[in-house]
Amino acid sequence: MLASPPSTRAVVLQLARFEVRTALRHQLTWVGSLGSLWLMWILGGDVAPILQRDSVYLAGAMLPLAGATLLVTNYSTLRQRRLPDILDSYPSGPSLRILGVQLGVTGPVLLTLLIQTVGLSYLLTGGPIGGIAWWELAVGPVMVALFGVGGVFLGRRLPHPIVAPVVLVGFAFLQLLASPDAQIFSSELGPVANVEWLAPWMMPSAFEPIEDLAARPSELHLGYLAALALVVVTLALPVKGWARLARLAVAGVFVAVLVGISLNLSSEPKSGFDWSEAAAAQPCSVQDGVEYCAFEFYVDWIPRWQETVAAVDAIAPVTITKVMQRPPNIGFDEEGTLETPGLVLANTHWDRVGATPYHRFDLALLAAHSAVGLPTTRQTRLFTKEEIESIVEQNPEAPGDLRAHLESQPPFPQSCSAIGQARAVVAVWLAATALDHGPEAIQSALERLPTANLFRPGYQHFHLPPTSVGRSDAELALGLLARPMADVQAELVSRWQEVVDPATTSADLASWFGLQAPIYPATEFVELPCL
Amino acid sequence: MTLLRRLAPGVPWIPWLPVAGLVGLLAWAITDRPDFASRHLYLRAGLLLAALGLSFAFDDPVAPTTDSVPSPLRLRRLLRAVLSLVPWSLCIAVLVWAGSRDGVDPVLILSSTADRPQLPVGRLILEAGTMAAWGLALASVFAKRWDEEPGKLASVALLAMYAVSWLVPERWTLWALPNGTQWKASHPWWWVAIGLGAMIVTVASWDSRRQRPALRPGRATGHARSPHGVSTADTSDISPESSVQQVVGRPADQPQSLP
Repeated sequence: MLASPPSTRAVVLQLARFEVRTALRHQLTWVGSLGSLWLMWILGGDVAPILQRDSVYLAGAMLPLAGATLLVTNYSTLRQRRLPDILDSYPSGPSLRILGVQLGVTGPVLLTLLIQTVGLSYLLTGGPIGGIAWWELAVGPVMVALFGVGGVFLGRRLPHPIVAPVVLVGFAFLQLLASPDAQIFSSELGPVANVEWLAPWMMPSAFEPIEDLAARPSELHLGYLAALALVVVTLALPVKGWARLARLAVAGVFVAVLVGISLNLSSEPKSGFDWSEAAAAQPCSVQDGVEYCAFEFYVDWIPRWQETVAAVDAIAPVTITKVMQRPPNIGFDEEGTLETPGLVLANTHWDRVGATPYHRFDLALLAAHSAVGLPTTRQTRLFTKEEIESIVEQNPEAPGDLRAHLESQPPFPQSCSAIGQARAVVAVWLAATALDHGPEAIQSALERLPTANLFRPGYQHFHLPPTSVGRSDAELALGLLARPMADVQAELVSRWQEVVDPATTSADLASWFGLQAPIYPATEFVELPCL
Repeated sequence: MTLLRRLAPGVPWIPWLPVAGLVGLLAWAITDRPDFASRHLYLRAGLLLAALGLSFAFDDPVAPTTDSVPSPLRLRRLLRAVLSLVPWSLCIAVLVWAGSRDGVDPVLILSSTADRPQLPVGRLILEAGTMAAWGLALASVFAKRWDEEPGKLASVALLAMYAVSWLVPERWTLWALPNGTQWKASHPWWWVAIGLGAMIVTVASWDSRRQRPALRPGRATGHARSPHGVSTADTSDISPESSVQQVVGRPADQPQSLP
């Protein structure tokens, strides 16, 4: 007696189960998952979580897994083309088999949700501010699904294993060009806002305020990805007769709708956020005679700044009057505002609790600057003759009369050189001593720029430093940090007048502790010494 | 010559169609960029695409048949590589031509510094050659060990290597610009990379004939059955003959392990 054929639903479910297992077991899926975890770490691993921004990053971090899913589903579809005679003898027809592969995308999508849950849990345990942007977060799994069904579509319509890698290169390239900060990667301009949403992931600009994220067309972008996935699913299924035309018509309407929406969107983001207004409305609080002002969104960070300054103050009294938050690389203040003596600029980034203290170190170093008599802000002044000569010497091929041009420049904020001054070494030591993992922050900064003659604890998302500190000075500070703190502190207190004297050199300081005098390589730029 | 004439139709031309399409698009998009700094992403993506096409050069679906011909594997591989280098060279030529249009002067420099509007053709060709060498190297390694059509694995591996190479810290970066600090420092690494790639191709193709792994009984029977009736192991590398053997079973008198 012949058994009755299995129902279509049973066949599809069985196929889907098999394809889910295949996709999850595939080596490429694991490589993609590792890539996503790595990207997640790079985008938000050791910075203080800001949930609005990090929701966007959590979605973007799924791009490697999405790429891997495209390859896996593509190969699954191609595999079916290689065994048609065998597969045709089974109850699943071509449509059901393709549907099975498409449903197999569920595996990577579930994996995406798992990875994102891990990422979100990590963020929530890191002292976050802001709220989760669910629409942005949902882009991650939808993007993986889209890439997965895209792989099936490519396997059906362009059946060769090279197509998927070539398409991935194209996607990666378009994604890069769709960045609003495309100038970072090359000198070309980024796209206008009304086409950015057509990229698989809407990369946020590093120069936009968090408040601008609310103005992104997140729901529209998510809907677009979901609709595109449905269209791609339909285009991949084998159909005959009028259904083909209907399918093409759906795709045509979809493209027409996209073009229509893009044409009607603004080419400039309309967030309504204004840095000047927000700065004027900053809430402030005073502690130990120091006023702390933050943008409204970042008010929860004020206690963290206070804690950092207090830690330095506990070792050596600081003389700053105000800590004010400003975004790096964006200027909107009146001339001279940011050069007020006693002012310290905090920026719009901070460190995750327990992570290497890059931003905390930067703030602690500026507080320590005030303790040893170094300036905490850049000073508005003209170029000195030595500086002009130095610049001219370094730029022999500069067009026109560079010297005359520099001499005619009006005064503007500039740093001074604390290289070789004992107090610069003490400031670095103070900042590192005041913080947990302070020596690690110095070591990390030195390793990040191994050939630089200057010590730059801030690298990205930092304000321009008010002083130049030599690499050798930071290395000498590390030497001091290797000694018992109480001994170093006692020695410094007993010689405090010498410490804060600009004429006292790092070599003098080294001799007090029996350390080797630092050696300074010839600097390319001669800067006015800090007084 | 006879071998060359026989092999020419066997060279996989199809992979070059999408490659040529995207390279053409890149060449078209490049022209309104003012200098090499703004063109290098396009050019270097194009070099990768050309290398992806080349990684399919050793695909030989009828390897079981060609393995028995008297010509050594290295000669067959050499001919395949040479034939595939024709479309590859065309892609590179198109990219260099597009990259040196509209005010960007092509200069034949390798490690020397260049002015902003100059295109360092020598270095670009070195980079293209290195990527091509690694495409072939990966294909020859995969062909030797795992697959008769190694292009699929080689192209993905090349893609991964390329992605990783962009992620290395700046002080070790290969993708420097002529007026950048790492331009000269990165140069020796390109020579090392191309040398290593060429060496791997040579070593992996030196066998007098392809060393095919013996069929093991576990391969046919050791995996769970799929709803399609074939093994749950990746079936993409199953030739029609072996597929039939897997589904139908071996004749009782056939040895389990083949040389």
